[in-house]
Amino acid sequence: MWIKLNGIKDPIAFDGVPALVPVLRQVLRGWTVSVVKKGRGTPKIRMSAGPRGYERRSPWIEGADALGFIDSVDAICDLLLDIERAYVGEAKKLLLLHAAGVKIGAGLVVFPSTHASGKSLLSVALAQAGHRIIADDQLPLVPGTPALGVAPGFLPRLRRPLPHSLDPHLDDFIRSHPGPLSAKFRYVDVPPDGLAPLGERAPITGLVVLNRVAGAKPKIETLGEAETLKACVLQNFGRTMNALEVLDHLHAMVKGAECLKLTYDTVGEAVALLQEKFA
Amino acid sequence: MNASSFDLETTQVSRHPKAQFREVGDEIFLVHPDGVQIHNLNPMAAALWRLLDTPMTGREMAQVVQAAFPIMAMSKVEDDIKRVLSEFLEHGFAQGKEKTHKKSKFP
Repeated sequence: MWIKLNGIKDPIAFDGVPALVPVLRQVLRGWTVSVVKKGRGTPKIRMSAGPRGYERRSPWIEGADALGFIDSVDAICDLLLDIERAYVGEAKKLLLLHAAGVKIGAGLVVFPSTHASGKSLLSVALAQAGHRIIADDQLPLVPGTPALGVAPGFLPRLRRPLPHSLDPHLDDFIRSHPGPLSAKFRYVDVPPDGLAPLGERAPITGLVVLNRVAGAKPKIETLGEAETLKACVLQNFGRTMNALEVLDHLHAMVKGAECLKLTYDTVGEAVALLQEKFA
Repeated sequence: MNASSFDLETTQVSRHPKAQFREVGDEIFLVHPDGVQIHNLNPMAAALWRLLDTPMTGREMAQVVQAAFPIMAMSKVEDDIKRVLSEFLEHGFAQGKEKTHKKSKFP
């Protein structure tokens, strides 16, 4: 089976693995998925069954011919990375940041990824609090003044297990909006108000570097331009333009946003501080 | 000139003409001539990159650094400079050439 996604020119091949397609449909928001005849176009991305389970082949894999996954949901998690790269590559002049972005008030607050920062869980908690997720993991950006975040149209994905200390209301919200599930990951089928579909844009007004520390007193403080830029440069993985251009665009984005560092322990504390600052 | 043949005394090091950079606050972000990689320099590497505004040898750099920080032992300064310049050369951010000495008019 071959499928075609709007926004991506080439079809994606699902050779002998049609069971993956319904999982893919479940995690997409605002994408049109249509089945096309084999032979119409040349797939850059190919999913197939092989000795490693569900195997993915694409031009973006480095150091191996294919990546394999036993679980169908894990295979789709991985496939989304390629879909995003293909989308950003074809859209031209988009940057791609490993970051979450949530619209709080009028503007988009971006959380560049840092180790174990809990940005996806925080994004879901903000959606539960009435805000709108643009992205929870990979955020395409339109450079400019202001820079715009673009929704990739993917459900947010949490690592399992969920923290034991999770607020019961948030825990209820997550469990009552189930998406595809594997041993490693759990997608959350956030209601439409809380999750932007593919292509929705929002101006970036805040850049918040997350610092989750067990037992820390929650605080939000100003972060220097250079430190914030460093956090963004490290998370840039788009390869659609020259690095100097990327650097200048990211710098302009940083200059146009309020740059902060948020130290927190529980997600509830983080949500409260962010709402106080941006809502 | 590669990093292994680099000599602190005789190799004059200069920025690669296609290596571009931006200074933001105290930080330097260096873009590799390949146009793909962005490196964020540590404070020592950033200081040496600034000095490379003018091509110079490692020994000349060491003299500048030691004059600014006389408390630092010259051997330590030279070791640090050698390490950083070797990395600049190895990764293609800088290029080196043997310093030419003018022939003396007198035998």
